[in-house]
Amino acid sequence: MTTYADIFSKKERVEDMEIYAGSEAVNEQLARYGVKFGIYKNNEFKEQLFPFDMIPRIIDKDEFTYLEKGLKQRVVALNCFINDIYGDKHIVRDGIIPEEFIYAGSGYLPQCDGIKPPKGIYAHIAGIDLVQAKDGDWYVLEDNLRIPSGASYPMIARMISRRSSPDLFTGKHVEDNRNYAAMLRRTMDHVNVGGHTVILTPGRYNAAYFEHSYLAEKTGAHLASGHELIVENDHLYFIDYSGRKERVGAVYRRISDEYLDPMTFRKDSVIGIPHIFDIYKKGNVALINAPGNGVADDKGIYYFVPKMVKYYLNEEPILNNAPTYLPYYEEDMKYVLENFDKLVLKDVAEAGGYGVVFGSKMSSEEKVNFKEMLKSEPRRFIAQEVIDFLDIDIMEKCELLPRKADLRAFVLMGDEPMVWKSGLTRFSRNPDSFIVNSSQGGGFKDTWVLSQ
Amino acid sequence: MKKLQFGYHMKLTFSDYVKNHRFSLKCVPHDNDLQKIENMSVEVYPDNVTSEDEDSYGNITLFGYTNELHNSFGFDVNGIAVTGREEYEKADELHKIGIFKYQTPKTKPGLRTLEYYQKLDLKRFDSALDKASAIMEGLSNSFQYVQGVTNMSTTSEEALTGGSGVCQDYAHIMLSLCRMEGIPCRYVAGMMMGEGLSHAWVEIWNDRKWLGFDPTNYKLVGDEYIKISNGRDSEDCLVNQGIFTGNVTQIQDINVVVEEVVDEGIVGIN
Repeated sequence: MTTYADIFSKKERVEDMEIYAGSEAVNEQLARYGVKFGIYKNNEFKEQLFPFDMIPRIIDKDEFTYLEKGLKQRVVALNCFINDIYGDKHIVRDGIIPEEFIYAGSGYLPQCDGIKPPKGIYAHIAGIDLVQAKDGDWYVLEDNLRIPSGASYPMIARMISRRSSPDLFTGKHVEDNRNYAAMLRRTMDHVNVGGHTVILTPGRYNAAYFEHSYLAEKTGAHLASGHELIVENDHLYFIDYSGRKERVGAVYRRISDEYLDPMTFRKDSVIGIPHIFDIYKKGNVALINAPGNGVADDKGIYYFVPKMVKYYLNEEPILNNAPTYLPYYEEDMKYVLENFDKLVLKDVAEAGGYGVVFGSKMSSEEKVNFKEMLKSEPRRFIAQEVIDFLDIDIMEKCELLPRKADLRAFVLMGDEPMVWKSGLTRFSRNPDSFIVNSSQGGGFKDTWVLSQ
Repeated sequence: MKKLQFGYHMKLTFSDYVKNHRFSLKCVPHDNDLQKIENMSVEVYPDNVTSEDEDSYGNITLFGYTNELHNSFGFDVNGIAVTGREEYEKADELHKIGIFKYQTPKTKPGLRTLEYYQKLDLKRFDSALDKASAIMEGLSNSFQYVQGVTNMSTTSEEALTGGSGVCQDYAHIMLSLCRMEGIPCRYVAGMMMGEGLSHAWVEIWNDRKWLGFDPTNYKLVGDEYIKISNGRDSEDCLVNQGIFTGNVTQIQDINVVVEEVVDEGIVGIN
C-alpha cells in the first residue's frame, strides 16, 4: 500500500506548508471555474463549492490492476442482469433473485420491458463506490448505474493542480487521467445510431450542471436542454440557433428516467422530450445510460450482485461486497436482530447518504421502534457490518488529519469495458462521520493511479 | 364466435385554439388469441401524421403531433372484429408477468379496502378462479354503477369508500382485491356490444391463461367484448394522452358503437 508519506520525500513532507498553499490556490481556481454543485434546502437553491484537498489518494499499479479486473467483471455482469430482467428474466425463473426484489421495488420500469438498446448496453457509465478497510481489502458499497456524476471533479482538479503546482507531479509516475473525455466520447460513439451526440441537461439549476457543461466542452458534444430537442418523423433532432434541425444519434442524458419523456413517464415533466422514449424503443436514438437501470442499483439488489457474477459469467466475483444481510431472509433477520449494535442499516429506497443509520447510535427506544419497523417491512432495509475504513490524511491548516474516504470508480462500456485510471475520492470533513457524500458537506481529492 | 362491426370515435373540443400538440393514442384493437381484426380504418384529425408502435404490454400506440393551431382533435376507428376465437388468451409464465401481482398507486388498498377484503373472507376458496368469482359477486352486490361521481384519477380505495362509480372503478377495486390475495391480474380497456362509452374489465392470470372478468356487468368476458389494451391499471391504457400549448378548457366526447354483423344466408334458388 503506497501512502502519501511513501511517495513524497521527507523534504516535501516537511514542506507540507507548500502543499497547503497549493490546496488554497487550486480551490481558488476551482471557484473561478465554477466547480460547484447545487443543493436544495428549504426550497432554496444554493450553490456550494466542493472543497478540494491537495493530498491525493494513491493507488499502486498492482492494486489498481486488481480493481480494474473486478470492476469490469462487475459492470459486465450488471449489464447482463439488466438485459435479462427486461428480457427473459431467467435469473428470476431460476430463483436466484426473489421476484419481489424486482417487481415490488421502484427501480424496475415496466415500460422498458422487451427493449434491446443499441449494442445491448444498458449501463454505459457506471460509478462504483468502493471503500478500503484497514487491512487493505477493498469492498464495493454501491453500484450507481443511473446517472452517476463526479468524474469532472478530479478531471479539472488534476488539470489545475498540474498548472499551479507542476513540481508535485515530477518523477511520480502517475497515470494521466485527462483521457476521461476521450473514453466517454468513444463510449457514446459506439452506440450512436447516426447523427450528433448531445448531452442533455435539466439546466443550470441542476446539482451537477458544472459537470454537464464541462463534459460537453471536453467531449465536443452539444450541451442541450429539452426544448432544443424535438422528435419528428420517428427521429430526434437538435434545433440550432438558426432554427435548423440536425439529426441526433446519441443522447447522454443527465436527467432522470421519470422526467425523460412526459408521454411515457411523469406527465408533469417540463424538462423532458415528448416521444423520445418511443423512438428510442424503435432503435432510432441511443440513450446513455439506458432508462430502467434503477432495477440494478437498488440497495436490495446490491446483495445479489456477487450471485449475478456467478450466474451470468460463471466466474468467482473478484470484488467483494461489504458483508450484507437481507432481513427478508429469516436467517439474516435473526442475525440482524441479535447483532443490531454492530450493524449499519440502510433504507433501500434512499440515496445520497440519507436513510443510513448505525445500530450503535440509536437510543434504546429508537432501537425498539426500528426493530418493529424492520419486522413489518423486512424488504425495505439491508444491514451491513460496519467496515473499519482505512483513514486517509487530509490537510487542514497545515495539519495532517485522518478522515474517512471512499472511491467512486468509473467504468465505461464502449466497444469494450474500460476503467478510468483515476476516480473521485470523497472524504468526510467531520472526523466522526462515515458519510462522505458531497450533499452532506464532504470534500474531494484527486486519485492517483501509479503507472509503475 | 361472433363478427362485430365496431366504431370508436373520440373528439376533444377546446375552448380556444391550441398548438404544438403532441399525443399518444391507445385506441386500436389488435389481433390476439381472442379476436381477429379485419377491414380496419384509423383516422386521426386534424393532421393524420402518426407513427405506430407497440408498448411493453403489447398495446398498439399511435403517436404524433400537430404543430398548427387547431380547436379540435380526435380519431375515428372503424372495423370488424371476429371475437370468441378462443376462451382465453395464452399467458406468459409467472416469473415474466410478476409485475401484475403488485399494487399500483391506483389500486393501493387503504383502510376501507382492507375492511372490505376481510369481510370477503377469500381464504375460504382454494383457486384463483373461485376467489375472483367471489370478488366479482361481492362487488355486484355492494357497489353501484353511477356515472359522474368518480373521475379518471379516482383510486380504487376512493371509489370503494364512495360506494359507486363506473367500469374503471369496478376494475380497479377488483384488481386491488385480487392483488391482496396474490393473484396476478391486469386492467383491460376495450369495447362491448351496444352503443355508448368504452368499457373496462379485468383479466386474472391462472395456470398460464388470462381469464376475463367483467365486474361491472357481473359476467365472464366472452365474444361480445373487443379488447383494445391492457396494463397494470387504467394509466397504462389511457386512450388519449397529450400535451399542447394553450390556455383552454376541453370537452371530450366518446362514442362507441359495436353491433353484430349477421351474415346473410344464401338466397334460395328454389
